[in-house]
Amino acid sequence: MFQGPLSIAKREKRKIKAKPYTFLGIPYYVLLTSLIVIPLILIIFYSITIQEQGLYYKFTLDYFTQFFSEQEFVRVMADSIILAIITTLICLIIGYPLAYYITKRRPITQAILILLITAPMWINMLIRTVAWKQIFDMINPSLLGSDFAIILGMVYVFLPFMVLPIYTVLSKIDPLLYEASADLGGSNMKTFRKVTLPLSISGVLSGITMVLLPAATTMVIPRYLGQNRVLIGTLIERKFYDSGNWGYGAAIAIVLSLIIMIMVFFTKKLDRNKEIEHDEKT
Amino acid sequence: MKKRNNFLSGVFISLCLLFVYAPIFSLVLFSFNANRSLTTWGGFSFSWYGELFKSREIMSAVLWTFIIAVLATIISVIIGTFAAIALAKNKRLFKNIVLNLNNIPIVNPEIVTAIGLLLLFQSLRLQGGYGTMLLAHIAFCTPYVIITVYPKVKSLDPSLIEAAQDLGATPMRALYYAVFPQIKVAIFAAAAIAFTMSFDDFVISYFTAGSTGTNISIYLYTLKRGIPPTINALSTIMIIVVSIAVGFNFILTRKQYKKEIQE
Amino acid sequence: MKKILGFIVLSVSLITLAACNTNSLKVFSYGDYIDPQILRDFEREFGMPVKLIPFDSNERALTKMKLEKFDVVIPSDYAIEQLIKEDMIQPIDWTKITNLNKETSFPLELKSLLNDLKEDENPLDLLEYMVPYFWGNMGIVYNTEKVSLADLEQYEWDIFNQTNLPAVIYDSSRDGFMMALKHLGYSMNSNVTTELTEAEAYLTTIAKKNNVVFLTDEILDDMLTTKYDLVQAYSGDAVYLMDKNDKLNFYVPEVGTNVWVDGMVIPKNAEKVDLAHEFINFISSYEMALANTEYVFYQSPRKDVYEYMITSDDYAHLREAYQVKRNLNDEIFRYVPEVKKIVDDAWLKIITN
Repeated sequence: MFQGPLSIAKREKRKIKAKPYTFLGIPYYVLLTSLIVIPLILIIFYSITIQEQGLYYKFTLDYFTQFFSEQEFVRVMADSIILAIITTLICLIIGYPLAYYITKRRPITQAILILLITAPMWINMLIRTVAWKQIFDMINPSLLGSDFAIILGMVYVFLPFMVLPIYTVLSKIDPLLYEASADLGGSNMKTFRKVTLPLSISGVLSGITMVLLPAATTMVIPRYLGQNRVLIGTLIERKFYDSGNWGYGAAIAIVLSLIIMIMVFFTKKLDRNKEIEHDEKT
Repeated sequence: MKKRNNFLSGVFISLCLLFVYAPIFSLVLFSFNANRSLTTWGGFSFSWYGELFKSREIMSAVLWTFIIAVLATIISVIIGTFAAIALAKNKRLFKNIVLNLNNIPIVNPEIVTAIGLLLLFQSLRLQGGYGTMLLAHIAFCTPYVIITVYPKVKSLDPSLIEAAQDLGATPMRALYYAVFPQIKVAIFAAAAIAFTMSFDDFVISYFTAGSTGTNISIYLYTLKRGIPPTINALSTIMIIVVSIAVGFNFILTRKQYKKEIQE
Repeated sequence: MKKILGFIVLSVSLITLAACNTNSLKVFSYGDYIDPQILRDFEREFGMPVKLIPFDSNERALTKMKLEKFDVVIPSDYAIEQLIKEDMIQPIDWTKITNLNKETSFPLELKSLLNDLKEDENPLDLLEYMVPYFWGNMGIVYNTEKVSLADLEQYEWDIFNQTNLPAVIYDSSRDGFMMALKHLGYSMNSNVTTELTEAEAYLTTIAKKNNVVFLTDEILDDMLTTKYDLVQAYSGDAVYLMDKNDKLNFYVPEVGTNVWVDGMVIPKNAEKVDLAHEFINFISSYEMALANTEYVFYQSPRKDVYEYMITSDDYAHLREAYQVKRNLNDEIFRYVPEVKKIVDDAWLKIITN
C-alpha cells in the first residue's frame, strides 16, 4: 500500500504526541508500587514467615492453622461477618425505598434530601457513634453491648453509603422507560420489577460492597456501642499492638481479606452490566 | 392514589431523616448543658465551648486533622489526575493492570491497608508521626481520585488534544487548555472525596501515626475518662461549618443550574 | 499553576512538621496520668516545652519505645523489669534527684515493697533505674447500697463469679489472671502450667456470665452514675470514684492482691538526659507531688504527701481507698516472658466470650 510522506509524518507525529503524557503517571506508579503493592506483599510475607534466631526467616503456615484452631477467634470472625451482613440487609431494606422515594420528588427536593442524608458523613464517624452512645445512656443503658446496639450504630453510620449509589443509578433511569412500560400495560408493581429493579442492580451491588466491608472490620462501633466488644477488627489491632505479634495479626488480616474478596467477587458476578460505579459523595 | 403514595413515602422519608438527625440533635443540645452529664439536663451554658478552645490537645488534634486533610487532598488530586491522564493514553494491558492494582486499597478493608503501611514503615525504621500519616493518607486517597477522574478523562474526545497541538501548543499547554476545563468538575468531585476520606479517617491514621501523630479520631479513640461534653461543642461547631459549606455549595449549584437552563 | 501552589504548601508544611518534632522534652506515660498544670510550671521554670505522649498499656508502651525516642517514660514495675532485662533504660543519677531521699522519703509500705523486691531470691533493685511516681494496690470498688461488706469478706475475689449484679473486670491480662490465681490460692507470678490453665478456665466461666463486662478507663465515667455494682479497679481509680460518688467504697481482698509501683525511667536513647533528671526531680518536690496526687487521685510516693492525704479531714472520705494496707499475701508483679505470652494469648480468648 502506498504510504505517502505526509501520512507517514502524520503517524509519526501522533506517536510523539502520546509519549509526553506517559511521564505524568510516574509519581503515581511510584506511589502504587511503594505504598500499595509493597505493603500488601509485606503482609503476606509476615503472615507466612517466622523469625528464627534473629535474622533467619522460616516459611510457616502456623499462624493460619493457629487461628483456625482457636475456636473463639473463628467465632469472632463469623460474628463480625454475620453482623455485617445483617447491617447490610437492613441498610438495603431502608436505603432502597428511601432512594426510590426520593427520586419521585421534584428535582429541587431531591437535591435537598440527598444533601440532608449525606451531610452527616462529613461529621467524624467517632463523634456520630458517640452520639448514639449518649442517646443509649439516656434512654436505656442496658442496651449498650447488645447486638442490637451494634447493628443500630452500624446501620446509622453506613446507611448513606447504601443510599447514594442506589439513588445515583435510579435517578439516571430515563423516565421515558416508565412511560413506555405504562403504555404497554404494565402495572406499577410490574414496572418496578421489570424495569426499575434490573436497571438499579449495579447501584445496589455498589452499595452492598460499600457497607459490607467497613461493617465487617470496624473497630469503633463495637468499642463504644458494644461495650468494648472484641470483633475481628479489634482482634487484629490487639494482636498487633498488645502482643506485638505481627505475623499472627497479618495472617488474620489476610483470612479476612480473602473472605471479603470472595463475597465481593460473587456479588459482582451478579451484575450483568459489568460496570460498577464507585461514586460515593458526588 | 398518587396523593396517598406521596403522603406515605413522605412519612417514610421523614422517619429516615428523624433517625439520621436524632443523635445530631442530641449532640448539639448537650453541648449547651451546664453540668457534665450527657444524660441529664442541668441548664443552659456556653462553658463547654470555652473548655474546647482552652484544651491544647483537642485544638491540636483538630488543627492536624485539617492540615493532613488539605495536604493529602492537594497531593493526591495532583498525582491522581496526572495518572488518570497518563493512563488514558496507555496501552490496554498496562492500563488494566494498573487500574486493577489501583482498586486494592478501595476493595481491601481499611485495617488491611493500615497494617500493610504500618509494616512498611516499621521495616524502613521510619519514625511514626505526621510524616507517615500523611504518606498513608496520600496512599489511600489517590485511588479514589483516579476512579473519579479517570472515567471522565477516558470519555474525552482525543482529537481535541491533537487539535491543540496542531495549533502549536506544547503538550503541557494542550493539557491545560484542552483537557483541564473539561474535567474540572471531576477534579473538584475528587478533591471533595479525598478531603472527606482523609478528614474522617480513623483506622489508617491510628496505625500509621506512631505515638506522636494525632487527629480528631485518634484523640477520641484514645481518650481515657469517657467522652467529655467538650466534644459535643466541637461537633456542634463542625456541624455548623459543614452546614454552611453544604448550603454554599447548594446555592452555587442552583445558580449554575439556572444559568445552564437560561443558555 | 497547581503544581507550584502545591509545592509551596507542601514545603511550608514539611518545614512546620520538621520544626514541630524537635525541641521538646518527650514524656511518655499513661493517658491522663499527670496534672497538666505541673507541665506548664515546668515549662515556665526550665524554658523547654514538654510534649506529653499518652500510651494505653505497658505492652504498647514497650513496643513503641523500641521505635521512638523518649526522654522520660512512666511504666509499671514489671514493665520496668522487662526494660532493664532488655537493656533499654539507663540507671538514675540520684545525685540529681535532690527532692527525694532514697531512705527516708517513701511511705513505709512502699519502702518495704521495694526492699522485699531487692531481697527476693530473684532480686531486683528498682530504685537503681526508676524514681517512684505513683503506687497503690488493686481491689474492688463496690456499691454500698447493693453489696454488703460481709459478702465481700466471705467471697473476696470470687464475688465476681458468685454475683448476678452488673460487674466489671479490668480488661488487662495481668490483672485478670492475678485475680484468678489469687482466688485459687496460687502466686500471681506463677509459671506452673496447671495453675495457669486452671485460672484460665475460671476466668472463662466468669466471662461467659451476662452480667460481667471487661473495661478499663470507661469505668471512670460509668461509675459516676453507679452503672455497675462491682468493679475491679486500681486504688487510684477507686479514690477518684469515691470522691465523686459517695455510694461507693473500696475493698481489698485478704486473700491477696497486687501491690504495684509506677516509676519514671530514662531510656538509653533519650536525647535530653539531664533535663529528664530535672523533670523527675521537679515533679518529686512536695508541692508538685501534692498537686499531682490531688489531680490524678493516685497514691503519692512521697511520705509526707501520703501521710497528709490519709490524715487530712478533707480527704477522710477517701481514706479507705487511699491508704494502702499491705498484707502478707500481696505480691508485686514480676516479668516472666514465657508466662506473659501464654497469659496474653489466653486473655484474648477469654474476653471474646
